[in-house]
Amino acid sequence: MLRAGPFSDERIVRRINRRFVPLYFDLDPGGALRDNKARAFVVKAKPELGRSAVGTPPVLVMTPDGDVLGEIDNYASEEAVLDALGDVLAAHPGWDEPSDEEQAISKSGSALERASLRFDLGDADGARALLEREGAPEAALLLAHLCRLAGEWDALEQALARVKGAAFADDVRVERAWGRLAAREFAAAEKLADAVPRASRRHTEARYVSGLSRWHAGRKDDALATWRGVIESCAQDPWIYRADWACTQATESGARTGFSTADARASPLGRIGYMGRRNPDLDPP
Amino acid sequence: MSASGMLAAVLLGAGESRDRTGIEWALPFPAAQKKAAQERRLLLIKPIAFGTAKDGGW
Repeated sequence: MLRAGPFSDERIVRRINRRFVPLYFDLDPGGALRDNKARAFVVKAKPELGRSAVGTPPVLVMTPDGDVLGEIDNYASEEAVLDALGDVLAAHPGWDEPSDEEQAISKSGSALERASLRFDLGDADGARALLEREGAPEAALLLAHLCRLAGEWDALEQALARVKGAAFADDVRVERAWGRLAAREFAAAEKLADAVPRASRRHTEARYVSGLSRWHAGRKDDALATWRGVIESCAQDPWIYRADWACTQATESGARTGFSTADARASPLGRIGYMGRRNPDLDPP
Repeated sequence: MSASGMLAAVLLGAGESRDRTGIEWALPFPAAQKKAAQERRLLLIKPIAFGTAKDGGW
């Protein structure tokens, strides 16, 4: 669930790649992705993780010297993860200093580069302020994207109106489809999403949105077929993970309280571990 | 992709189940620890209790 949820959230991925050095490993000394040095480092700080049977471990925020500065629950929401990352950096500003590359961007980068950096660092309002004055379609598209993430639908449309050129047609369709979905205009959202071709870099996201449009219109079987179709036909990416999460929960009959083989069968990717939190995209807009 | 991200991709291979979130994982641990110290960044560590695959899947 962590990978399908928070770790596939663009805002979180950007923040992690900018400000953290991320690592994963198998705690099991015999596991396929075992890393004995990582295990020793973590168990020294958290001895309970060295036991033979442990629950799902949290994400640990640690200094290179082994001090634990924060922990993030494995089932935390996207917003909770964002808050936790921001909180630990705010409490320990010495680990939040800009890199040389970031200083160069801040000093002499284009408005788009500076806005993208601010977005990476969680300052969406600052990014939007920079983009409001820019005329390039790439800048207007990022502005529209930020408006969409903020749920500001009128501002989204205003920004999209400034995105000119066939090269951005699919981006506009996908961003607009999210807006139509939020407005409960499911047929319009589906039509926009379905117009995005397979060759587009936004294709998997479009198929995910198309599935959501069908789901919220009450066409559950259509939604499942849409998500399963893109999962089976496209390489994995964050939208495939998200579709897998949606598929799994859409086929559940009741509240999840633990692992079972049935859970694994319900995931088109054959994954387990989605219990604990619903995919929020399945809630009514 | 950063140099560390490319290193992770090489180490993990091209398996379909490896992580494709876009997070630039730094693997293995000594490389991550060195990078964190050099760049003055915090480690973000996800220990996995079970179910990893040789191609990097988890």
